[in-house]
Amino acid sequence: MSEVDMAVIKPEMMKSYIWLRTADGSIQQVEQEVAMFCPMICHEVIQKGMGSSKNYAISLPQRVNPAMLSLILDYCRFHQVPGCSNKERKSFDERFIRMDTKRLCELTSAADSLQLKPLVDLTSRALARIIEGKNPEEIREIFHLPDDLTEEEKLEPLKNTTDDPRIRLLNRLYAKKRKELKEREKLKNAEVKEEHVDDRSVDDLLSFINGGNEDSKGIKTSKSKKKNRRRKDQQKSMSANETTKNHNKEPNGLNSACSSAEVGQKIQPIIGSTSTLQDVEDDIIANKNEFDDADIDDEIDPALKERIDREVEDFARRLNSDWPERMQEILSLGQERKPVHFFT
Amino acid sequence: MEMIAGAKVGREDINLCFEKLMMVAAGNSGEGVKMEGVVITEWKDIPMELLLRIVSLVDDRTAIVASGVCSGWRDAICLGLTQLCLSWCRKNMNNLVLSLAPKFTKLQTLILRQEKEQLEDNAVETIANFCHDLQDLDLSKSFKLSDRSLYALAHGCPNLTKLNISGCASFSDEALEYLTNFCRKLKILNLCGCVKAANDRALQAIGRNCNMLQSLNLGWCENVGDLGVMSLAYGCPDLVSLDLCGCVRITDDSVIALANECLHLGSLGLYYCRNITDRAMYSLAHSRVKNKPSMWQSRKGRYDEEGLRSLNISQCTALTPSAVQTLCDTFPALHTCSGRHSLVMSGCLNLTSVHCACAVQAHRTLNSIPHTAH
Repeated sequence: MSEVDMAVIKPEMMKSYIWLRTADGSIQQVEQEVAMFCPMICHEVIQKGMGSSKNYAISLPQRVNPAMLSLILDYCRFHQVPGCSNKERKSFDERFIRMDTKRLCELTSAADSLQLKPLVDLTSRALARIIEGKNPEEIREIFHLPDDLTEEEKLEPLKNTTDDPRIRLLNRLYAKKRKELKEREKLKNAEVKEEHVDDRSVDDLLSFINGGNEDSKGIKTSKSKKKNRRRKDQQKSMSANETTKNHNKEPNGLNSACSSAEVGQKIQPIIGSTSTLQDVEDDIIANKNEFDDADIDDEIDPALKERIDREVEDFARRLNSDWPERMQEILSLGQERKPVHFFT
Repeated sequence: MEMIAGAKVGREDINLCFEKLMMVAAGNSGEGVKMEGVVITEWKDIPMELLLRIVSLVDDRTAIVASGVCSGWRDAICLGLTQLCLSWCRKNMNNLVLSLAPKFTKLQTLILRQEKEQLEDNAVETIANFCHDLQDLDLSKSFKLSDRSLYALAHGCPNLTKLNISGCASFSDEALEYLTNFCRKLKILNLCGCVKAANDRALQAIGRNCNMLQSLNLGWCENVGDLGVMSLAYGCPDLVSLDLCGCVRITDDSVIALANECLHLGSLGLYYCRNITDRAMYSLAHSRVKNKPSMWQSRKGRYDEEGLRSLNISQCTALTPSAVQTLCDTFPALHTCSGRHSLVMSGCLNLTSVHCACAVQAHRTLNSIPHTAH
């Protein structure tokens, strides 16, 4: 019996293990090939002959606590396998770094102390992505940093970093939005209802809305477009898009807002949703008082600007004052001229 | 626009900063400064090297914002930031430089190329007062700058190796000369469009003082003449790249001097230099042949294996095909073939017959009559 036992040598017993001790004193053993993936551990084993038994466990740097160690070992365990494709490794990495910011910081620190460069790069890039585009207040919040700079020190670079064209464009658009809102409020409170004769054909109106919406899809990936064209497109389509987007969930114009019953209710959310836009703006830049329209609009061709402004106001007015009646009218017109074209 | 992939960092005084930060951390949490068994719970316990590495991955604007987050970050970034680009600024670049230069004193590379001119003398003076480690400075298209800036840079940034003041048309030759007296380590200098500054007097100064110069752009500096270029050739033997496009006054003498003195010359631009004749071409070829070491001599030293690899002789209508073909044959790196077109002859209608060796080879292969196997 015992001979049979001895003959049957289990594979697990053939593996060699490395013993590691974390700063809190706890000791664990790890498969050799996994642990050796870390340069620091590798160095200890090869140069100093440590880690072969419990008594000679390798003392890990104090930045590595047990939780982080297990994460790091998971990483090593996956990546030390020679067979994986780059794509597989990438998707593992992407899933791996999905954790809260605090753990990400700890992990970066731990990986750095073990000299595990690939993991340090991965986590550093993730942290860089988190920081990017945020203002100091947000960064302080995310990383629990003390707020120990003087007001003067904090404010100055911020004021001048508003040169970023993306931020300026966004602020321009938000300023415009605010103007629109104010206008709509004014009109709502006005005693006299303005009568508009809509002498534009339905098709014109539709194509204006849909043309604006097509551009709006481009907004989401607009960073690659040329600045000028993008600016003009965004100006035009953002303003058109905002008014249409607010009453349709999908960017497909009148198609989805066909039932007049829905439409009336949707006017309310417009006012609600735009207030959150202001919050977003506040989040982006702490000092929004810096942006008055006067210095923002210096770069758009004035003629174009006028046209855009006119179109926006036109549309806002039209939208706000007699939207339900207008909708009915348009739909009934459409029904007469064309068969059921824009009903889903 | 040279948008570097984020602000770069160095390692000086990192330890100092780290110590300070650890003390701050200990102070805040009320614990003693005990290193054993300290569990990392806060971002600020992370070593500054890591923070700087992360900052080097973000864009310049974020790096600036990060320097205003807390005192620990501010100190780390101010001590560690070595590269910065502010070309994305449209309106406030001047103010930004005024507020940042005193903080980022370790800057080695600073890119201030403008789309819309904003930079003024006071900003450059501030840079010169604080950033003494500066090696690479790009002030291109700073139309508002005056000689004051050059004088300030001369005094404050003697370690400059790369300077780009292209488009700064208001600089004078006197100020440029003054600068070269102090910034002797210049290796790359771009004076494209600096009509007032780049003349023979300034070039003589450069030839005297900037002996390590490797690359010089004198594009459209119409006051440049033979005297200046010859002084340059004698003074800067390491010259690799020289752009004289639009320098209409120069003649063969300039090219002959360059051919004889600058044996590492790899790129030469003579666009619109109408006075250039075959003499110049033959001198370049001759110099190459003359300086080719014999089999027994060591190949090290002044002989450059490749020789001239890029030459622009567009609009040099006095040249004839035989001279240019000789040149092309002498320098194997000059190509007329579409893949590696480096011998540019636009506007020289009589030079269409000039071809590099590979173009001829391709031609031959196409025309060869196939032999039957048996």
